Parts: sequence; structure tokens; C-alpha cells
Amino acid sequence: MKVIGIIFKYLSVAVVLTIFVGPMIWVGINSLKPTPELLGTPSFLPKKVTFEHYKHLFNRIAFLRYYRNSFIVGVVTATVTAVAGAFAAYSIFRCKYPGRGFLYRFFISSYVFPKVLVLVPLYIMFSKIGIIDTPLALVAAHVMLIAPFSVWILRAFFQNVPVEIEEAALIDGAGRVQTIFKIFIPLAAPGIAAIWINAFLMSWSEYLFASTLVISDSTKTLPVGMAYFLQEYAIEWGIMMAGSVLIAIPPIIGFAFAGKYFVQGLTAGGIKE
Amino acid sequence: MKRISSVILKDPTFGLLLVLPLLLWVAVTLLYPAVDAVRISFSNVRYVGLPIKYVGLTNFKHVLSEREFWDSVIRTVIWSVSNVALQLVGSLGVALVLNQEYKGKEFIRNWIILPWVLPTIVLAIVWKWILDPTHGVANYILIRLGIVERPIEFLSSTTWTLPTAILLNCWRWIPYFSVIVLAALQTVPKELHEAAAIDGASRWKRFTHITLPFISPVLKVIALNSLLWSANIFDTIWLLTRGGPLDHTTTLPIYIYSKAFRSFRFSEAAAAILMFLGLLLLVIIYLRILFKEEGAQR
Amino acid sequence: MKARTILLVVFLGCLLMTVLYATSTKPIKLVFWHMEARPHRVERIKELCEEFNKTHPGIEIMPQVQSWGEIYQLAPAAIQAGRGPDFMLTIPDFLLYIKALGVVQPVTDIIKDLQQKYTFFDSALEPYYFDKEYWAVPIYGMTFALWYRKDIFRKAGLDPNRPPRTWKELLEYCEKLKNSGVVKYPIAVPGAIHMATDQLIYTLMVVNKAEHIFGEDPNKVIFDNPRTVEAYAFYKKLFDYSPPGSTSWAWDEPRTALFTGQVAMVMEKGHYIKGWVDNANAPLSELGCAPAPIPEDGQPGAIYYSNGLMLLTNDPQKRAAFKEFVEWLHQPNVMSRLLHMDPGFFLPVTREVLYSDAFWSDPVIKEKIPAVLIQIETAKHGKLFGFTRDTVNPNAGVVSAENILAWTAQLITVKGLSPEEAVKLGAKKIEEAIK
Repeated sequence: MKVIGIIFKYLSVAVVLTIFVGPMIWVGINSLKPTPELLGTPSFLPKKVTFEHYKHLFNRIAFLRYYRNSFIVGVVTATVTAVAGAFAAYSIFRCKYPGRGFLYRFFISSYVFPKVLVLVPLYIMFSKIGIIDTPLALVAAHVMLIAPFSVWILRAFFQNVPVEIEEAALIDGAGRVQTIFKIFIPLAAPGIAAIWINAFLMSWSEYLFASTLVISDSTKTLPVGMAYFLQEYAIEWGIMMAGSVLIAIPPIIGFAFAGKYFVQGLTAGGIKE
Repeated sequence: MKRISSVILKDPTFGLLLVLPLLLWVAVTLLYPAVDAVRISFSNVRYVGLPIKYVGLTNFKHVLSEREFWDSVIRTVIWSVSNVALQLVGSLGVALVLNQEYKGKEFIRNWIILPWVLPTIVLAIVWKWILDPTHGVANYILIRLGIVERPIEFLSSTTWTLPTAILLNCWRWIPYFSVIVLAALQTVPKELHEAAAIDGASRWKRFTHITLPFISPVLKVIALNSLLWSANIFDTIWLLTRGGPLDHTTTLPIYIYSKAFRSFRFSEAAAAILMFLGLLLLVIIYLRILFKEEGAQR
Repeated sequence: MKARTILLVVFLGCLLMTVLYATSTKPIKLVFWHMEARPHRVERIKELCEEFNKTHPGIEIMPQVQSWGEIYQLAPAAIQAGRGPDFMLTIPDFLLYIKALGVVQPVTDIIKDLQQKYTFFDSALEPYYFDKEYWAVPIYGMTFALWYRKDIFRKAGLDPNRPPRTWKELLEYCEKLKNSGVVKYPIAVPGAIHMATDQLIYTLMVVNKAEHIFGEDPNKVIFDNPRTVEAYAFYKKLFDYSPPGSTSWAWDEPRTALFTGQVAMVMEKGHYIKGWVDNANAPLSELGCAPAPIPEDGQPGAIYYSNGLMLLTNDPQKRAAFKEFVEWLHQPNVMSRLLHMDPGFFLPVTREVLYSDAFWSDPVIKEKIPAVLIQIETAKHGKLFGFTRDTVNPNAGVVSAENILAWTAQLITVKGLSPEEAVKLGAKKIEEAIK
């Protein structure tokens, strides 16, 4: 009876993993198969390992440029989000002034606001001031999409940083700004790391705004460049799979380093609501 | 949090100064465009730069008279409701499975979120490949097992596409929510379970009487978030099907996007979005009242 | 006095030199968008532009690649945002679509000058003439044919040198191929809401004498007629022989299906020749080519359209540079190299190129002379939707921008409507779109 229980336990975990992680592994394996093998009868392991798809990715489409664009937009978005978000969260949860409750609710509701609404006006506005088709437009949009959410994540983290420590520092004569940098930020660092990663991931994946606010090939980000490829060369499976493996790498690395804080941030925000 | 030291809160300017950057940013990139959208919806914008003519409610009337609009409203409801239901059940199921004691649980509990961490374009490529009628492994297995004779067109037939898209969206979001449920499950006191087990309560009984009530506030939050996010999903559908075949996966966000950027009817798109927003607000208000009433009854 | 004059002259001379130097080292930059996104075409176009830039120091042409799949959304957006190109590749219906934005410049004078040296084929030039002006400079044409695998024909017991010529024969061949067991699906047919589907359907409409979408009065839609319905009904029959998933197929899937031997026939444009050389699992001699089959009471022909370059800037300097570029490009030996970026696909639009040694010198073209001749012959009877009458509906571009022909096809293949019902709805959609 107990053996059956154990078997059942591991079987259920295995099923969950197959469903949610399996497809990605399948694609990773397939990116190493030569095209004729891909189009033939499927086999689990490649009969012949090839890196031709990865080579094509760099030779035939501007993959590296897309990669660089995505990276720049992602890093700038994440940094702006982390700074502005942390400032705002500190202000809302640590300072007292009329309307901060309202501000908090404003940020939260702006996060669930349907963003398609502002797509058209934003597009028109950016064309008028001439920043359409630049990374700046994308950063502007991405920060707007993600920063309010970061306030929400930070809330839980800030609650875990005891006010007393700050008080003590203030009483000891440290300046307010000094207190923030010396005491508060180190304590809240995991939270800030979490929102940085979260913002980077979101910007790295974002498609709707990136596909609309970017026009020329030289400013395209990865999701947009790959989506174009998916449309035009629907049949170049090998290249597309190699591409998706390479797109997946930064999120996976980022997650490996800061995944703990990231999950902590999500769950803390989620449970405490 | 209520007990904030008097040392910190002395003058409001410092606080306001800190919140200002984000506030300004959101005001310029979200609030102003949102107000602008209202203006556009009452005007006749086809091309940027041409003079604007105000046309009153014409755009609203036109959108409301379109069958495609109502079809996509219905589709959005189907899409959202099934997504919420499946995500709720699915994430609870996955969380319960992962909440057991097994080797490598720390690792797996963290990494299960992978489908959510990966960009949507990866989801699209991965699943288009697996579900491809000619070369995909899914159909290969189905045919080899003798379940079907002709490959199923998961992403190009009227019967299969919407269900497939819903399931794939769940594939992305269940891991995310399951991580949250998992964290909630950790807060259920073990002693309660042990005591109940000694009293001879069955597993199912323990689940419904102890676990579920304990985590139900979290589930409610998840349901609400899932609903709002699902209704707003654009990229998953667009990258998988572009709203097709015909309009069979065209939910409101897709409808609005096509209106604006395929037919270049910005004004009608703006009108449609405002109505979408109204619809969402109604749902939120309704749910809030519902949850409050429930809370009051308890 | 004299010294002063000399000094002045020297000074003015220096000034003039500096000005000349300044203007000569600052070349006029022209951004050029094209939608020939396949890698070898991108390469060739880049190569030619670089060569032109080298031989014309005052001008710099900067080619940028876009895609046909996205250009209908992207170009208007970019132009409105002030990020459009100086000139770009176009086809007649796309030209109409962009012209609505008011940025396309007439090029009648450039055409007139070119005509001093070259004779354009009417079918290539005429679609660009309306409102008493020429609006683009044609550079190459393309049309449809039936491409088939001789090896599969042979295996299925069919004569590899006797392709189907009529609709009836085409269906018989499909049935025979299917029953032979050599291939499961005899023909590949695109069915996505995409230009590829539009073009196949229009080819079927042309051979069935249903080429007119608009009446003599360009505002009257006559799409809903029995001959169009027949064309759609025939499309549906072919579609049923096509592999599963064809409702999302565009250009590449039928190609791969033919090149891997999954199907035996495809109706498409001439890029199958070069595509075969690069990708197929059999020698080029196994690729058969025939004119698009016609119904018993039909007419020969297919969709035909020339691609041209349209000018989007009213800067006179850029206009002069553009003129220089197209004149350079139209020299038979230069043009031939452009056409050879996909040999057998891009057809000449001037008599001079067609009869030049340069054009026929390409080894792939040499091997496939009949296929090239078939396309050139078809081009003579070629038509393009919206451009079959003397007067053009200025909104006709919407028909292809919104892929209405393909949309109508999906009503049949996806929704299961009858061809009659679908064509009726299609006509309604066209009427709404051109309003």
C-alpha cells in the first residue's frame, strides 16, 4: 500500500513536469536535429547532432541585433522600474501624507487596466514627438506596463523590513537619505532584485507594444523579430527552435540567480493582498 | 504598517518627491493617452496628422452594429471564464502534487514557473511545432496510438483552435498561480491536519474542511487576477493564430488591434476599447460586491 | 588693385571649392525598402545598391528589408510617423493603398525618359498608370504556373511530360495520384488569410473568365457572379486534396511539401525553380512546369503583376537621385543580375532585357528555358484584380490589404459555407471596404 502511494506520488510529479517543462526540453533537443530528420518520423534523441540551425540564425536573420536591442530595452526598463518603483513604494509605505492610500490604489488599478486602450493614443503621441521607432519609446511603454506592479510586489517586502531599525538610525542622527541608503536599501534588496528581474523578464517578452511602436528592422526586439520569422518562414522549424532556445536563456539564467527572490516577491504579494 | 514613527513622517514633501517620478511617468504614458482615447473615440481619425473631425457617437454606433464585435464579446467571455476555471483548478492541482514530500522538491517548486518566465513567442514556437498537423509529435503519437486517423488541426480548424488556445494559455499561467497556491499551502498548519487524521477524517475531508477554507482567500485573489489578465491577453492568441481561422479566436483585444492596425480605423478601435473597459469595470464591481457579501456572511 | 583682384578670385575659388567639396562629400541618402526577404535576394539587392553607390559618389542608396506579410500594416504606420522610406518596392494594389496617404509621387517624366531607351511591356506598365500619371517604375514581373514532380508522376504511372491542361484533367490527375498510393495528398494549396491564397484564387478566377471584380463603373462590385462561384468551387475541390493544416498555409508550406515529395503538384509563382535547386531532394530535371490548367470554356492566363519602385519623397535632389538609380538599374546587364537573384521567378518588364544575352546567360535559366517561356507567355494574358478595367477604383488596394479573396475562401474551407454563400459575403465585404 505504501509502495503504491510512493509510486503514485512520483508519477504525479513526473506528469506535472512532463506537461510544463517537457515541451521546452523537446524543443531544445529538436533544435539539434538536421532538417530532414525534423521533417521525418519523430525520434526522441537526435540521430545526428548539428548546430546548423544556430549558425543559420546568425547568418540569415539579424538575430544578434534583435538580441542586443531586447537586452538594452530590458536592462533600461528594469533599472528605471526598480528605481522609480522603489522610490514610490518607499513613499507610499514609509511616508505619511494625504492621498497615499489613493496613490497605492491608483497604481494597482493602472496595472489591471486594459493596455490596448492606450496603444493607439500612445502610438499617435510618440509619432508626434518623434520618438516612435526608437528604444526610448519602448522603454517608456514598458516601464508604464510593469512599474505599478512592482509597487505591489514591494509592499510585502517593505512590510518585512522593520520600521524600528530605521527609527533607531534616524534617532542616532543619520540623515533621511543616508538612512534609506545605508539601512533600508540593503534590507529591502531582495525585493528590489525581484522587481528588477520581473521587469526585465516582462520587457524581454513583451510583444504587443514592441510590435507596434517599432517599425524598422534595426530597432526590432527579439519577440518581434522572431514573430516576423514565424510568419514569413513558417517552415524553417530548426531555425525557429534554435531561436527559441536562445531567447529562453537569459530568463533562465536570471531566474537561476534570483529565482528565489522572484518567487518570494510574487507569492508575498499574492498572499498578502 | 499603521504604526509609523513620527520621526519618519514629518514633512509630506519628501514623500511626494519620491513618488513623483513614477506618478509622472504613469500619468504621461497611461493617463494622458487614456483621456486621449476618449477624444479619439468621438472623432474621425484614420491617419495620424490629418485634421480631426468630431463625429459624436458614430463610432460607437458603428461598432455596436457590427456582428464581429458581438462575436468577439461572446468569445472573450468564453475565453476568460474557461481560463479562470481551468487555471484555478489546474493551479490547485499542480500545487497539491508539488506540495508532497519528494526528492528535489525545492528545486522543482521553484522551476515549475518556467512556462511563465519564458516569452510568449517561445510558447508559440514550441506549441506550433508540437501541434503541427504534418510534422508535429502530438499528431504522430495520436495516429500511432490509433486514436485518430487524420491529423487533428489543432491551430487551424474551427472546432479545435479556441480550446487549444485556451489550454495553451493555461499552460502558461497555471505554473504562475500554482507557485502562489503552493506558498499558501505552506501556511496551512500541519497540526490541524494531524489532529484531523487522528480523528479519522479522510484525505478528501481534510482537504475540503481544512486546506480549502485556509487557502480560499488566496484562491479568490487568483480568480480575480486570472480573470482580469485573461480578458486582456493579446500576444498568446495573436502569435498562435492571429485571431483565426476566420475570426474563431478573435477576442476583444485582438478585435481592437485588428481594427486599429489592420483596417486603420483608430476611432472605431478606441470606441471599442472604451466599451471593453466599461464591461470589465462592471465585472469587477460585481465581483467585489459578491466577495464582500460572502465575507459578511461568514 | 590687381593683387586685390587676384586675392579675391583666389578667395572665391577657395570658397567655391569648399562648397563643392562639402556638397560632394555629403551624399544624398535614400532609404529604400524592399520586401524580397529571402536571404539570397537580400544579398543581391544589397550588392547592387553598393555597386551603384560606388559608381555614383554623390548618392547613397540604403536598402532595408521588410516583409510582404507585414508591409500593409507597417508602411502606413511608418509613413504617418515620418519614418517611411524615400522609395520602396511596390505592386499595383499596394500602390493604391499607400497612395491614399498622399505621399506617392508621380514618375511620369522618369518613365518617359526611360521609354526613350527601353520598351516596357504594356501589362507591366499599364497598372501603374491612372489619374493621368505613372506612379511607379516597373522593374520585374511575376506570374503563376503549375509546378509538378516528374518523379512522382512516373511512379504513379502518369506521363511526366504530359501535365494536366484542363481543370477536369487536373482533378483526374489528383484522383489518380491519390489512388496510386505514391502520395497521400496530390496537390498543396495555400489557405491562410494571406497574399498567397489571394493569388491562387485570382488565378482560378482569371482562367474561368471571372477576372473583373469591379464593373465598368469602378464603384460597382461584380464579384458575386456564377463564374467566380465556379472558381471558388474548384478551389475547394483542390483544397480537399491538399494536406491537413492547409488553412494556415501560405508560401512556404506548399514549397516544402513539394520539395520533400509530400505532394506532387503546386500552383505558384516561379520561385519554385531556385527553391528547388536549394532545397529539393531531387535534381532540377524532375521539376515539371505547365501553364495553369484552364476550364473547358476558360481562357489562358493567370495572375500577373509587375513589381515597381515608387517614390515617396518630394525632395527634388532625392528625386534626381532616384531617377539616376532606376536608369542605372534598367540597363539590361544590371537588370539581369537583379532578376537572377531568383532565376526563373523574376520576369523582365522591358523588351531589351528579355532579348538580352545577359538575361538568358544564367545557368539555372538555361536549364529551365521552357519553364521561363511558359511564364512569359502566361504573363501576356496575365491580369491583376482591380486593374482589369480602364478606370481604377482608388480603394481597390483594400481588397488585397485585407486579403478579402482569401477570407472568402476560408468561409468555405473553415466555416463550411457553400461557394455561393461565401462569394456573396465576400462581395459584401469588398463593398464595405471600398466605401
